[in-house]
Amino acid sequence: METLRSLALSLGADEAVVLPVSEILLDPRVRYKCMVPKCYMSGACSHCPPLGWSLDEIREILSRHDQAVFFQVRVPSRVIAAKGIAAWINSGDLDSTGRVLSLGAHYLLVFSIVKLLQKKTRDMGFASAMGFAAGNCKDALCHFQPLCGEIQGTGCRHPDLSSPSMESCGMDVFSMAARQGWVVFPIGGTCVPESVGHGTLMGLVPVGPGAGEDETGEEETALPSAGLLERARAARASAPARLKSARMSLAAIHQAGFTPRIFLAMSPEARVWARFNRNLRLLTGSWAGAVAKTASMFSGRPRKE
Amino acid sequence: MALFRKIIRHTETRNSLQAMEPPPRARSVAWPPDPEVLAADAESIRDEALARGAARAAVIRSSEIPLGSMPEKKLSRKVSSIHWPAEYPLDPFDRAVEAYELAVFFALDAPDTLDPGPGPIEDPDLAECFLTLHELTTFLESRAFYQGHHLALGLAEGHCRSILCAAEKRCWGTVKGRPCAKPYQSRPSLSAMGVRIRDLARDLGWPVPAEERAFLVGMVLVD
Repeated sequence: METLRSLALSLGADEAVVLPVSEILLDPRVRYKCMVPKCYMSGACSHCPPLGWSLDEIREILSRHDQAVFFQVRVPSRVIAAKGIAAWINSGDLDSTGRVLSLGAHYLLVFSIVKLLQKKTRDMGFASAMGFAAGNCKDALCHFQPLCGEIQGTGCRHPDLSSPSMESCGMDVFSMAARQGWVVFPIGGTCVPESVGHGTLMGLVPVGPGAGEDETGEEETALPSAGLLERARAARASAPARLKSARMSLAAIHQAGFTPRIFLAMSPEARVWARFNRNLRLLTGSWAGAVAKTASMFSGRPRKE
Repeated sequence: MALFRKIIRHTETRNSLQAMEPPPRARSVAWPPDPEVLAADAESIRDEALARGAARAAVIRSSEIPLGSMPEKKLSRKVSSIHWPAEYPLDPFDRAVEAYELAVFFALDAPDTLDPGPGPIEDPDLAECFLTLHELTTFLESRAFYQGHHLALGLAEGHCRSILCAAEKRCWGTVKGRPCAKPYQSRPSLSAMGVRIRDLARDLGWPVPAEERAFLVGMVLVD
């Protein structure tokens, strides 16, 4: 387990501990915090309440594991509690200061750490039925898509990165963190940077004995196994569809207010993006794969206003 | 004249809520939770409710909250919303209430009019009163949240669709994949969640209007 804890730190976590599964706090109130008052993503992401998993289902899944790696990624208060950031996030648009994308980078980092920890767990011959990340995956992975793929009925677009959040599964993340001695501030929409010390995103990967089945049915991360020639033929055959898809993606990106200037504004968080992309390389097996995966997260369709 | 005074008081409440400063420095979440701090915080929220215009407010134990079954009557699309009828198939509300220790229950003066229930609020003065109640609930819940009670939950009488989205042709949260139009504001009513508000008010010795009359009450389950 120490190997996994050290791996979490090397992948970008600021703190990581190993704890027994019995110390995971499941609380029936947590999912209600997503629904009352209603979070902007509640019901719009398949992992978020009122959808997702019940506490009994999560308890059953966790019972098949012994220990868990619990880690945190800290977010500067100037990003997570930036003035007006809640309104930007709710609107689905990107602010010109790059704070929404900077915050997104931290969430993506958590998703990537969870997946890599799960991958390592299985490589070591242990089981990890599910990993738990932070926040909703739709905003981080499918930001430029109008609908979550699962809700739309076409299936998850990024099963190799998507995970339910700890809180959507009823885990009292803040109390678990406080129990570890981590300083955690509640951050809401009316926060300003001066009112909180920092933000914290957390993830959890339970580990159990033996090789087990992936509870979520997610695919193992890998590039398609088709040869280069077959892929080139397939690409040529679907060229008109790809062109249409690219045009729609550009329209969605433009609608969200994305401009190249935002990259400059995000430079204070370049370290986080770099770490995330290094993790993607580990997940996909190559830098080409990492670039392709990043590009796929920018695909989308304009939303109906 | 009495109604006029009530409306003035509601207007003052709303003005004080809208003029509120950003939250004070957030308190970090504590472990283990301190029951004395919780009690003191609950009392401060009760005092805040009274200072911001509530006619009555009390700190109660969650075990004192009388719960019945949630109303199941199906409503037409013109009237229904994500919060009415309240449907949380994976999350029994009674289990959530049991997990809380203390709550603050408060009441605003209500005009002596018929309770609109889940339907539209025709009387603009009554609509203003319900909006004040919802804003006060949001304010108090927010206060509890920043005191480190990260699971604080606010409920307020009145149907959020009639109060916040009266001008919308439908509740957008009921459309597949669409988010609520008023995130972080919309919340279910106590009645929709099965709380027997009149029984609770009687237990506290508060004046209780007749069953069909408007009763402006809210509750913040603190921790």
